[in-house]
Amino acid sequence: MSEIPNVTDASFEAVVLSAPKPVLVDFYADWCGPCRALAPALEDIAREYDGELAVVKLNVDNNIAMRDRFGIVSIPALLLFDKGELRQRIVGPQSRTAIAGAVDRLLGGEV
Amino acid sequence: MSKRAYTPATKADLLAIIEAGGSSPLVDAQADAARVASWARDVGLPAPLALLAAALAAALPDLPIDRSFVRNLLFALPTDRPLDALAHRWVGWVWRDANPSIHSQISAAPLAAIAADIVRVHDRATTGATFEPKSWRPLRTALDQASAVALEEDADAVAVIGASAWDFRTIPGAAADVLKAWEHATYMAIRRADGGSDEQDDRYRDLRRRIRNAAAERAGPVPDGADADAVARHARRFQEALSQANAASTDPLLERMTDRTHRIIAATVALRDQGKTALVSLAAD
Repeated sequence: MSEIPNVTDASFEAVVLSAPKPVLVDFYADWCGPCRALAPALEDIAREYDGELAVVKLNVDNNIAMRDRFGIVSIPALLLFDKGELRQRIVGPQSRTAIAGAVDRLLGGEV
Repeated sequence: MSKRAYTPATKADLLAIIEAGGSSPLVDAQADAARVASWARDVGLPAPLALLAAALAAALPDLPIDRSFVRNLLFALPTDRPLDALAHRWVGWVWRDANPSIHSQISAAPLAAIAADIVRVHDRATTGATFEPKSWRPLRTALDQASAVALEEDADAVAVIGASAWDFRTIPGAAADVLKAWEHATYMAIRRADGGSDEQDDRYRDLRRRIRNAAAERAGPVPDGADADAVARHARRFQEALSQANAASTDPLLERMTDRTHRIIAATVALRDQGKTALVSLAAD
């Protein structure tokens, strides 16, 4: 299984906001059961969209600045960014197919 | 794809382990998908099939893992033959032949047509045809768009087939996700029939939490985990307090939702039973 790389407050600008391709950020915490349950689906998404979309995760307990900046009040929260802009927000447990739907809409220019 | 074939020797070994009550990722509730998939490849089983079997065998609350199903499936699987088609055939069975079939639960013709397109790809895969992983995307997109304007009950049923719209070689958990989506659709159908809502579910969760908190308070502090007898006594006290708190509750929601929970569990057990029977039957076919 592929390991989803972590981003931090310090690296968020370079890895997410300045990325040349869309980025899906998983806002999670180690103690969050639904976040752990979501991990396999995110690994599948990373594999499916390899080269078209980057998938990264951010620990909200250790990276308070980005948590607050994007108003994360409930996790898991998936935020889709493109060209430095937040394009879509998906909150709560999701199926792989639902996440893919959001990604496809972004890649297809619908959002 | 499997690294090697499922051989008579492997089959005999796996059956011996299950019949002796031994451990296997297929009957281990703690085994995650990666471990099941890795084990499957090592023993010559397709990962999608193993993940589906593990999901079907998995325990519901208060029920043991179904070892007899795993034994029957391993026994029914033919040896020295490709088994990659089996998970695809099971998806087709869910669509056409389950009782009730997913097909029969979709009233909107355009939605049913897109779902049928997805099942057709699975049907072709059973003949050994392979597809680019990306070829599933237009189907998922079409389904996603059509579902966005569908009735809730149609969308729940369509999501069952939508869960399968992935390349099983790269996303081996997709067939198992069909089962989860099917169970969710069944849960939602029962909730709709009861006139349920998210607000009602929230109120029930809150009620359960208050009852459990009251029981925990009556049971007293949790003892040190090193003292097994004290832990067992505390668990008994908690269960007794919980029973009393449940009995003392006068909120009619408790009885209604408890009854609904029992019906959902019964429906889920029935659904899994027919899914298991079908998979063993398809394996032996």
